[in-house]
Amino acid sequence: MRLLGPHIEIMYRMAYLWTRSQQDAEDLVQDVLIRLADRVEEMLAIEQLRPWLLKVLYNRFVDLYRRNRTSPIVELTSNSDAVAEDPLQRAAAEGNEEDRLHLQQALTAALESLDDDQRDVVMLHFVEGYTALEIAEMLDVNVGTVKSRLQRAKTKLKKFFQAGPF
Amino acid sequence: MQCAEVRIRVEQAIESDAKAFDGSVRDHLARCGSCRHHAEDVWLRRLLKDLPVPPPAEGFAGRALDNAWTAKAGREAPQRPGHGRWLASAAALLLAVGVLLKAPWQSLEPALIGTPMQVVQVAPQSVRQVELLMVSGKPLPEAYITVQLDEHVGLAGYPGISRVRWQAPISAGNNQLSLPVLLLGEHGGVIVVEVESGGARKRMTFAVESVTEEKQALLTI
Repeated sequence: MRLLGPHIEIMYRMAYLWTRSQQDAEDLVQDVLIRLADRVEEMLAIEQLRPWLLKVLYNRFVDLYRRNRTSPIVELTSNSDAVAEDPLQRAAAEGNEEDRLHLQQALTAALESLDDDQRDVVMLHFVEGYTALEIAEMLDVNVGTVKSRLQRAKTKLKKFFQAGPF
Repeated sequence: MQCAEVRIRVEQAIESDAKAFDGSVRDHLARCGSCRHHAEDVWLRRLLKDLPVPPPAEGFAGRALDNAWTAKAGREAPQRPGHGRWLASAAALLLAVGVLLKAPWQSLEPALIGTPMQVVQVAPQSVRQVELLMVSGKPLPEAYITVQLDEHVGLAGYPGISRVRWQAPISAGNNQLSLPVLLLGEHGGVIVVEVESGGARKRMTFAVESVTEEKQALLTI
């Protein structure tokens, strides 16, 4: 328990950001913990446990949710329309709480408009601060792929930069 | 203005001090693609970190760890031949033929598709081991099992949990899922067990009926 306890919060947070559901995030973390209970010896030998745990979590997320998901395309496309420019610009310019909420809603919708692979690297890089190399190791892809996914994601999120303070 | 100073001021501006973002910084960003790229990253990081994440249910971390270790203990316990294990391997599914429901007080008999809800009788505040026997015509190595409980029933050893979902390989033939059903009060409840595999789902619902302790004792002899 001491081994995994400190990492559950971040595992849940990442699970939520990937699944966008509290219940699914809890289920995913629970599923992974049940599997990890048999791998204590292996985990004790791992120097950087957190990235390893996130890699296991991510792989289970893909197994459990991506493969079973039904047609997200329509929802994602329609949600992307919710990225209105006015709230973003107001939030950037004024920074009040209401506009910040609008900004967050718009950003959530914009994230939905990203491809799954792009969103995954965005979360790991910008939220958790992992480098492209670390993400490449976690996701079992090469570092160039991670960088290109990040770049494409940033291009899609460009309107948020335009609404930024620069 | 040097790039290093611009980057510091960009971070200050985005994190807390908008005044640090003055005309000279903007001018630099307009000319310097590298600094602009950095500024965009800082801005996006700030926005994403502010995204709200609802907290998990109260006590989730402790329960999740307890469940994991309980499941591990269950996997390590001796198993009856041919039987599956709770939270480990085992449950079962009949996708095409039907579902067999076996409770300790019943002889094994097939439940007909469309049959009214199966009934399990349990005394209030007591636990009864209910065994679901399900049959699959083929192995399902990547099946997912969900047990959903209403507010009147629980699973012994899993206090406060109303939904459990896990992955379990299902063998061709008979598989068994044991549920330690706990009736929480005087009222009966409902338990739904759902098995998913490859986009197909099978849902089984059974009612938990309240009976006296004496009757339960007779049923479990």
